[in-house]
Amino acid sequence: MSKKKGQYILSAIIILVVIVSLGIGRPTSTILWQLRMPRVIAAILIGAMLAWSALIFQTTLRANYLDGSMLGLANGSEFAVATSLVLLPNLAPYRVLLGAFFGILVVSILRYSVLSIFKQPLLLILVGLSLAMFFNAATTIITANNGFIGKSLSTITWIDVVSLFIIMLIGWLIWCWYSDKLTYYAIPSLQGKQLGFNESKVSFWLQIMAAMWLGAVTAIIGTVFFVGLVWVQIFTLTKALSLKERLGLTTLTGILLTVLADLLAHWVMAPDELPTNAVLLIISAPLLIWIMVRWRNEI
Amino acid sequence: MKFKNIKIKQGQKVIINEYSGTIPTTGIISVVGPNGIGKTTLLKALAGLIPYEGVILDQATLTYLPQKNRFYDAIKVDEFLGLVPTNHPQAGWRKQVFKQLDIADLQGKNVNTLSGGQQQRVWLAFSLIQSKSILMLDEPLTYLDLKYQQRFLSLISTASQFCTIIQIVHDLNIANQYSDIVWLLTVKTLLAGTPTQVLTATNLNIVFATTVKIHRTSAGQRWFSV
Ligand SMILES: Nc1ncnc2c1ncn2[C@@H]1O[C@H](COP(=O)(O)OP(=O)(O)OP(=O)(O)O)[C@@H](O)[C@H]1O
Ligand SMILES: [Mg+2]
Repeated sequence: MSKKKGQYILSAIIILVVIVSLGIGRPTSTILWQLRMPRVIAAILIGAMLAWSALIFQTTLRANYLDGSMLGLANGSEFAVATSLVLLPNLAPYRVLLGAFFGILVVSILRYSVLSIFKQPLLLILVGLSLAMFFNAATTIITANNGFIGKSLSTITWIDVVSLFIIMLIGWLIWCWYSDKLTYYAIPSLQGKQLGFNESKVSFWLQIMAAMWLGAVTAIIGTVFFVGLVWVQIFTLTKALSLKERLGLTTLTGILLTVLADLLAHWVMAPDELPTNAVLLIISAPLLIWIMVRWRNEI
Repeated sequence: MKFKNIKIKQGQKVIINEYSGTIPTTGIISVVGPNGIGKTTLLKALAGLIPYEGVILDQATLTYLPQKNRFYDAIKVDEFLGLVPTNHPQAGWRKQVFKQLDIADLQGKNVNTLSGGQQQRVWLAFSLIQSKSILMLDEPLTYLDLKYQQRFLSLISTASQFCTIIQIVHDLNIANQYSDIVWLLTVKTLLAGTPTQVLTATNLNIVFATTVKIHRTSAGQRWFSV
C-alpha cells in the first residue's frame, strides 16, 4: 500500500470516528458544544502531539526505541503538575500551560544530566525508565488523598483546548524553523558536525518543543507509557520510509487511536468514564504485539 | 599542519607514544601498520575526536571518514549528498567524483537498500566533495570492487593536487604506488618518509612479523608479496 493511500484511509477512518463521537445518542446542542466538541478536538490535538513528540525524541537522540514517557519526561512533568495543583488548586484551569512549562523544565534538566551522560540508547532507556518509575510513584503518593483527577478527557474544558492549541502553535513554529535540518540526523553526529551542523542547538529546540507538547498532553490524560514508541514503530519497520514520510502516517495513527480511545472510554461503561490513557494503552498494546510478530518474521 | 609528541592512552595502556610529524598541504599520505597498532586512534586524535596529550600546530580544516559508517534514517542518496555544500573551489570536482563513483546509478535510492560497496561509494563521494584541506579516510577501499578501487585511487591522485589525503590502507602495493608519504606505525614509533624509504624489507618484516618479499617489475617498479 502506498503512503498516500494509507494516509487517505487513516483520515477517512478518523473522520468516521469523529462523526460517531460527536453524534452518537443525539446530544443536545449544549452537550455537543460544551462537552463533546472540546473532547474531540482535544483528542485530535493530543494524538498528534504525542506522536510527533515521540518521533522527535527518537530522531534527535538517534534511538529508535524511545519516547518521552520512557525518558521519565511524562511522569516528571505529571508529578510537577500534580504537586502544583495540590498546593495551588486555583491553577487547575491552566493545567495544560503548567504541563507545558514543566515539560520544558524537565527536559532542560535531563539535557544537562541524563542525556549528556548516557549516550547509548540502551542505557538511556534504562535510566529513563527508572526516572519514570520514581515520578510515577511520587505522583501516586502526592495525589493519594486529594481526589486528584486527571487522566480522562471527560474533564476537558474549552480553556484546556485553547491552551493545547496555543502550545501546539508555539511548537509548530519551532518545528518550521528547524525541520529542514532533520536530514542531518540520518547521518552520524560526527559527519554532521564536520559539515558545520550545530546539532546540540537544533536538538535543544526540537526537544524543548517535544517536551512542551508531551507535558501539555500529560497534564490532561496523564502519562501514557510507550504509545509514542509503538505508533512510530508501525511505520519504521519497513526502513523504506524516511522521517518526513513517516511523520504524516504516524500522526494520523496517533490521532485515530486517541479519538477512538476517547470514544471507547466514554461509551463502553457508560455512564462511567474510563481513563483515556488506560484505554489508549489497551488498544495500542496489541499493536506492539503485532509489531513483534512482524519483527520475528523479518529476522 | 604539524603535530608534536602526541600521546594517547586507552585506560592504562599507551597506544600512541609521543609521535610527531608534519602534514604537507598537498599529496597522499598512506598510513600502514598491523591490526590494533593505533592507526585509527592516531587519525581520530589528529581530527580532534578523542583526547590526547601533545600539541597540534596550524590546525587545518579537515574531515574524517571512519572505518565503519551507518545511517540512522531512510534517506535518499541525493538528499544525503545534498548535505554537502556545493561551494568546492575546484570547478567540476563534484561532478567528476559523482561520475567516477557512478553516483547517478544510485540517485533516488534509499541509502538503507544499498549494498556494502554501494554504500561505501556514497560515503567516499560524501567525503571527497567536501572542501577541506585534509581528507582523512579510514580504510576507504573496504567493500570496493577492483574497478571502483582503481577509480577511487585515481580520484585521490587528482585531489592530492589541491588537498592532502590521509588514508589508512592494508595493501602495501597500493601504499607503495599511490602515496607521496607513508606513515608506518610500529609498536614504538611512527616511521615517516617516501614509500622507498619506509617500506623496506627490514621494516616490514619487523612490523608485521611476517616475511614480506619485495620484487621488481621489468619496468623497475617494486611490488610486495608474502
Ligand atoms: N574505545 C576503546 N577502548 C579501549 N581500547 C581501545 C578502544 N579503541 C581502540 N582501542 C585499542 O587501541 C588499540 C589501537 O586501536 P586502533 O583502532 O587505532 O587500531 P588500528 O591500527 O586502526 O587497527 P585496524 O587495522 O584493526 O583497524 C587497539 O589495541 C585497541 O584494542
Ligand atoms: Mg582501524
